[in-house]
Amino acid sequence: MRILVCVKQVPDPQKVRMEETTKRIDRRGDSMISPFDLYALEGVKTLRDAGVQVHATAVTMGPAQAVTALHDSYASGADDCLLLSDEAFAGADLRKTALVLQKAIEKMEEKDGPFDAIFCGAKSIDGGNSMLPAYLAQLLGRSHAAYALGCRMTGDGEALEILKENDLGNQVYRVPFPCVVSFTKNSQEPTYPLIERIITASSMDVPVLNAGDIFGDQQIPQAQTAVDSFEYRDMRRGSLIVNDKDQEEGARKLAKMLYDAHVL
Amino acid sequence: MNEKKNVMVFAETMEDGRLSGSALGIAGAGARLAALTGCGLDVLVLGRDNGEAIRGLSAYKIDRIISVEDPFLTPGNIDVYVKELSKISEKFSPSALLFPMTLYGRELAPRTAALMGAPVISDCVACDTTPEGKIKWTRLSFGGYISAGVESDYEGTRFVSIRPGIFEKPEKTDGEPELIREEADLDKADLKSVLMRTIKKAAQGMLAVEDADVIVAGGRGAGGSAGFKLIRELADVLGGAVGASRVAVDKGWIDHSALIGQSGKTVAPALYITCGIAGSIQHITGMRNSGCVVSINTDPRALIFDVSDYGIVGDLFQVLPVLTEEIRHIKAS
Ligand SMILES: Cc1cc2nc3c(=O)[nH]c(=O)nc-3n(C[C@H](O)[C@H](O)[C@H](O)COP(=O)(O)OP(=O)(O)OC[C@H]3O[C@@H](n4cnc5c(N)ncnc54)[C@H](O)[C@@H]3O)c2cc1C
Repeated sequence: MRILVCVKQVPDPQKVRMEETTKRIDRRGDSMISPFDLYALEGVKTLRDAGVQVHATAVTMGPAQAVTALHDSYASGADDCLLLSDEAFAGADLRKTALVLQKAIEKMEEKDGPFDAIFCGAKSIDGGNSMLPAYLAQLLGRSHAAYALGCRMTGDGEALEILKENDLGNQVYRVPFPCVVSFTKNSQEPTYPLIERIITASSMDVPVLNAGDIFGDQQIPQAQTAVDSFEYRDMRRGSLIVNDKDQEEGARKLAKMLYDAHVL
Repeated sequence: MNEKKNVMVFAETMEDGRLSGSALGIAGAGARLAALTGCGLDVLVLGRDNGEAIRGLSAYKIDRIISVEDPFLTPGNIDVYVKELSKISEKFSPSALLFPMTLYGRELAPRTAALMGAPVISDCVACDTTPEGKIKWTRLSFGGYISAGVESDYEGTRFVSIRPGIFEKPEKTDGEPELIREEADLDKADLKSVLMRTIKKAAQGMLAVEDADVIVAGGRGAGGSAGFKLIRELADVLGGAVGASRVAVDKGWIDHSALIGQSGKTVAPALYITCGIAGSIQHITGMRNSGCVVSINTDPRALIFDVSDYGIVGDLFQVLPVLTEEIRHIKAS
């Protein structure tokens, strides 16, 4: 079966800055593959471990340096990669990103045949709105499941069985092909890639599709929402920390502090 | 002149038909937007039997409740919710349609918006008008490090998802909202992804973190169910709920419904007490808007202390029993 894995390169959350003029995230600094995406790649591995023949293609939309997220994807099991990159894609909001991906997926499918499944991370940790997979699924008119903890092929081979994280108790969904599934963190750490694959990945050439390749002479979609101001917020608080040798005495002190400050 | 279009809020309901914990807060965000734009507020309820939810809404200042009832409308059937939501959105074409940023809301908002060709402004925590009279939403990204003001020129219904636990409920009133009942026309064929079974039912009857004014949360330091028993005792004395870090949930010490953070819930109680939680960015994301943060941790350099108002360097197994007892005393006197 053919699986497309959508990944995203994100800035290191501890060091992120915004560009003052464009009000966009500055994507030139330290970056990494969004950690949830590794669970999507792990989903591919789960299927393979269960004996399913999978060809996995990783795709990302982003600036040229986003190629490192594809290198990481290759190292973690993708068979080939594709970068969607063009000045015209910058500043994309949810809808624009989904429309570019939709069109690019249609192009890829025309060329190499349909994808049975599209795997995504449950959210990217920069925008972090976790809505792209669902939006894309609906644009493509495919079945969808979010917050997958794991997946397996159904007996009839026509669907994935998805274990979905949910407040009311985890749920099992039957999600027929073709489908879009987003993966969340589960209790297993993603498998660390083989060193040979990391080395191969770092020197691989990744094909690029630009706006012209994807949209031809059709109009490129425009973002309909825009950030017009931003501020950095200081997360630190002025902490009053009790650090007594006698911890029980400390606990009493803490209770009194909370009472005196009208916290209780 | 066109008549002003109302703001519409999707009220999330639970399996048993009651309003979910976040619903009234999202209605409050709707009330705020309606007041800013000088229009009315509609609340939409979709379910099998909406009696309970409608009763839960009727004491509040809401202009109209739009109710759709159908046996297919149970929370697990996400596909049919999307169909119904887009039908209602088309029929009423509200100026904005607000969703909670919950597990369900995060699926329903983008899927419905995609069908309607609309953008989504997500994870909003505040709403204001600009000097030019445009609506500006504030959203947080990077775990709250950055807050951004977002505007949209989109002319149709705007889809907005609201972070739960931030906005106040709408005002109360004596007058009842007008009730509009809409027919559903749903069919088994509308359902693509089918819920086969639920693995483990979460504990019933516990106060949910999103409803609580006080949360006592445990992490790896709690070590297991014995630690969580101490945490539950403190929560009980404070009339609060129990929360957890990812590690505690992954280890099965507590239900996923208690998970706070990037892959779980975002909460903002008046008091948030952490016990054996390190303070990873993924956890802080979910609780940094809490009123007062108190932390218990054996490591004086734990990051959690940076985002705490009060703390104690100590072993939670020693600190919690005494702290709970002291607080019980204070509460009693
Ligand atoms: C994609 C992704 C999503 C994630 N989403 C979330 C999320 O939503 N929520 C979340 O919480 N995490 C999330 N995480 C995990 C996060 O990165 C951390 O691993 C996790 O928050 C750590 O949990 P912890 O603080 O309980 O454990 P640890 O980091 O192990 O910290 C335990 C702390 O307890 C202290 N301690 C130990 N024993 C005691 C004792 N007896 N008394 C007092 N203190 C003690 C230690 O000093 C330490 O500070 C996510 C990770 C990834 C990759």
